[in-house]
Amino acid sequence: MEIFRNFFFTPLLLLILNGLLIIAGSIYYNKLQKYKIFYIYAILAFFQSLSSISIQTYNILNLGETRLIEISVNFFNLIEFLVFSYFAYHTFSRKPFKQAVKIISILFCILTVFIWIANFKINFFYPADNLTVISNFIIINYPLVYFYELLKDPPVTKLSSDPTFWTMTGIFILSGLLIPQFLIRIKVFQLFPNIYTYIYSITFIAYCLMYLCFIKAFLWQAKAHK
Amino acid sequence: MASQSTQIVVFFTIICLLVLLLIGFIVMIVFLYQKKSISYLTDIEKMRVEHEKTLLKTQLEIQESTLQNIAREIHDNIGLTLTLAKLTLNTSSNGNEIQNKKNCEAVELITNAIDGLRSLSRTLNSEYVLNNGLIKSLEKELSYFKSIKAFTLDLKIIGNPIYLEASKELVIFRIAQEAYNNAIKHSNASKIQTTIEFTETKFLLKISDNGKGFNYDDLTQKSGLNNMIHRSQLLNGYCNIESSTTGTTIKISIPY
Repeated sequence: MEIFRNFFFTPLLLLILNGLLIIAGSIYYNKLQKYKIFYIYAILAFFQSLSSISIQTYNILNLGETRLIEISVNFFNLIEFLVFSYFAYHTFSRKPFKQAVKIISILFCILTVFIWIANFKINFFYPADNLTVISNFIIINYPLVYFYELLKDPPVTKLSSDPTFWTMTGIFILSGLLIPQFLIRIKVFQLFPNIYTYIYSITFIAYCLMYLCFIKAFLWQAKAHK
Repeated sequence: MASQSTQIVVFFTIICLLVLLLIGFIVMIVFLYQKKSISYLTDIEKMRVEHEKTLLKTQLEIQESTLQNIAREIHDNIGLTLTLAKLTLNTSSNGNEIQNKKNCEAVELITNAIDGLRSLSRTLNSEYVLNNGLIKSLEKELSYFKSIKAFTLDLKIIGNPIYLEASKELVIFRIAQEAYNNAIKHSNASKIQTTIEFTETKFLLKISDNGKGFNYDDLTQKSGLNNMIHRSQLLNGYCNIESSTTGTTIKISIPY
């Protein structure tokens, strides 16, 4: 399993791309309009990743054992879900889809609080992987609905220069890669703890791809605003 | 245990790659479909514009032909009849002084009518524009306006004149006529300035007056202004109309 140690570069790559996204967002902040929420998301994600990696390193170096990482992951998952839902709500043109996003978001928030309370009785630091899977199963529908609307509605803009297209593609890649990862993780993590680094590297790569798409979206949005 | 881990990793890698491929495939399909739709809609739009242009061109041809017929009819038939009436009146003088005076008045009225009809015939007739070109036609048009009303009319030509296609010049002339007509009839202007500019790539015509101006939304009859815009579009150009309380400026740009 020596090979898995080679994946340590992925968190670094993630931080670099996350940083680039923040820089792009800072430069074009006034032109971002509805994409401003992704700028705030990028800042939150950066601090979440930084804290997670720091805690993880702390744990690996056997300096002590802390489960604070799970708290930050749990909170970040909820924020991420809400950010994507907010964006989808403002992107969809059909009212039933908008309503569905609204209702699903409220239900998911209630479910999250419920699971957190349930976990609190056992262990508050329990990583809510089930919630992540559920949220990603919901999130993956946003780009699919967006693509459906794209196919149904008459085309208005060139897709390659449409920031919404790149944002939705980024979300699609992320949720598409996270779903199998978390499904496998739930089952095999306990049995094979040595594949932990590898599995996580896929998460980081998925986020890297999404950030690349978001950077592209920021750049196109800034260009379109001119 | 290690081999099982490797198997899981390989399996997981394959799953991830397949998911990525599927995502790529879906995105690609949407992308290509959208591209095809845009291309299809662009073609439809092109066809619609072409169709509209053809329709407008036909309308203008019919209009020109009608105007030509009316002009010919005025010149050949009504003009001739009035001239004959004038001659008859001239030769019908007798000893009755009152009757002679009335005849003279009638002859004068007929002469005025003949002059008016001749001017109208000349305005309607496109042959003059086709034979003498746009600048000469505009000069003649302006001299006619000068003679009938106390206007200050200026014509300024910038650049070396480039002769456009006769049909193009006729359309531009009709636009200018419409602009003059509006300025004279509705604007209460005392000064009308015409500037023609020949640039390297396009022909520019600017007609501005110092009249009371108008608000486009308040107009009940917009056909004249719309005609100017449509005629400019027919020549792949554009017509920009700016109006305020201090006057109106019409700018026409036509590519060569």
